[in-house]
Amino acid sequence: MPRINKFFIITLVLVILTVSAVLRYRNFAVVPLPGESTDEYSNTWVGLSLIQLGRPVGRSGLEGYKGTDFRYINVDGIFSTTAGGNPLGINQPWLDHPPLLPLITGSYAYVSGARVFEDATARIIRKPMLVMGVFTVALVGYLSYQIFGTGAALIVMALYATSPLMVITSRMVQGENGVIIGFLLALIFLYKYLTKNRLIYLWLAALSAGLAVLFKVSGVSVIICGLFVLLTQENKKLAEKFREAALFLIVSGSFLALYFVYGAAFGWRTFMEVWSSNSTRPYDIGFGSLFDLLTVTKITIGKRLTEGWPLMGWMSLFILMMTKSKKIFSFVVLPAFVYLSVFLLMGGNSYGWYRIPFVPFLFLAGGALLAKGYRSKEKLLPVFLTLFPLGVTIHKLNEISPLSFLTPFWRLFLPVVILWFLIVRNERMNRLIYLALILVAIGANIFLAYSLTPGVWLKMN
Amino acid sequence: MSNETEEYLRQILWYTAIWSIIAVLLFIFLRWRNSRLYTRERYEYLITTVSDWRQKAADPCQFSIFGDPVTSEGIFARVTFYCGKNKVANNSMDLTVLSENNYAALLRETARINGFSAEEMINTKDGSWKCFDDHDRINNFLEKVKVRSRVECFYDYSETEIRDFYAKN
Repeated sequence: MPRINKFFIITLVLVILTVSAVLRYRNFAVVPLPGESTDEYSNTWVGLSLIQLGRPVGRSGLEGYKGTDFRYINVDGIFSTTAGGNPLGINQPWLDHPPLLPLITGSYAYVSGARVFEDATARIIRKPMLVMGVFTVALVGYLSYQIFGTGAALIVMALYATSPLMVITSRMVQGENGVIIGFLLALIFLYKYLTKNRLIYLWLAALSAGLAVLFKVSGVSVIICGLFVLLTQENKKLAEKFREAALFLIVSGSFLALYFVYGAAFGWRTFMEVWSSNSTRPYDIGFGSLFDLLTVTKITIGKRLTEGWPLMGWMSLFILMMTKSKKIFSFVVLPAFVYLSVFLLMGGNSYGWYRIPFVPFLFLAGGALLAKGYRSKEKLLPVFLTLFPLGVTIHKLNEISPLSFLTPFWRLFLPVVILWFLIVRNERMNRLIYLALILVAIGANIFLAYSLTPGVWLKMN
Repeated sequence: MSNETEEYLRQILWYTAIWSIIAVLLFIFLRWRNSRLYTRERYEYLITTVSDWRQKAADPCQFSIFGDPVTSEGIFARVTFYCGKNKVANNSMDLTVLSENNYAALLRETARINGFSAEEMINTKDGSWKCFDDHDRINNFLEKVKVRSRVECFYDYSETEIRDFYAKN
């Protein structure tokens, strides 16, 4: 790669990461509204109590615990705003999930001076999530670079960094934001292992998969996905594949076993009862779960932020399924579908954050198709795939401040763009318009994400 | 067994040995810390202490506890403060959270949650605050709170004004 080109790309990557950091930082403590998900506090309290009491204390709601202690813990004044009338059901020892995320946010809160539960405000506990969010953008970009190359990586990174849905959900103290870090790291190292065949990468992939499990039990999807990737390798003997899969399974699975040791230390019986009540959760996502997953973009259980990019990602994923690329299947399609299986199996509740681990793969698929469209003569499909999320974003912007002056232009713009790419064959001109369209879509994302103040947030759905 | 398989096996065995040591140490460490640090008092301190960083209420009507506690299965009370003639705060409180079921504990817990002190209502004898339960004057704050009762405390209201107020409401 020429030096000037390399410099340009590095600069672009840094710009994207900076934009992602700025968007995530702006209003991070007030959007989503503090208390919209009290799990955010609970996750931190678990860490804070582990540090101070030597025992995890948090809110659960699972039936496996004996004797829930109902209390009003008015952190961020949530009982005057978002919490609803119920006191919080506190359980101890809290064993719903492994304690890695609680230890990260709890330690950060402790270092920041928090000593009691009420001290753990959203302004404190969401800060580590901002760092994790920006790191995730970098990982999504790197995995995309490995699979699709530089152009696609830049598009995927830019879309993922600016997607209002991801800007908002990445701020939340939810285990899934950690699971995707483990997921992406594991896939990056697995890819390196498959291409370079150095054992160290297999170890790193297994450790990353283990890391994902320590964030949330649904991280087992990373282990399952890794096993699939290793066992379906081509040009390797069966014994070799089993050897690699065994190492991967033992190392990553040992982290799950470590969680069992953690549970046993606080009471084996409670731990097992919590696990069994976790497995008998009502199937709240309902019969329309797949349709709901594809068409509804949620933040919490009730709060939505309608966005077109995930649906565009699903469509792209289905299109990519038809390609015969093993690489694309193993590192984009397979992870999404393995997590889908775990999501449907474990999906006790249709909380918005349960969907976070899908999103990087949806953006990988969508961004890859957009990048392919840039190189291809036939641009109608990628143009269409850009137009509808762009339309949704503009519709949301219109909800914030009416863009009635834009309506006649938009009315003309849509048919003109579609007809243009259907008829005109001037490749250079088409490329320019296409690129401009993607840049407008990214710009609209930034504008919307930047506009999400608490007042706007309350109006949005 | 091939050399490569032997190498894998060796690494797995080493890892398992190290993992076992870590697991045992972790188990012992967690048990030791739990037995050394955990006390009921520390737990209470952690969950009930009002944060120094939280905005304190200028008066009992600045903040409220919104919404009815559905999980209390009907065991709740409404606590309303009238801070002068123009300021009102309605609160709904789950009575199961109280350490003792009496009016003093109810008012103290409501005050703790909303960030003010209820001592003036409970202890002051100058009559600046007058509290009622379902229109009956509360004279003994250590009496048990009835389920679903309407506790109302008035500041700067005369007996006549309160009587008129109840006559209208």
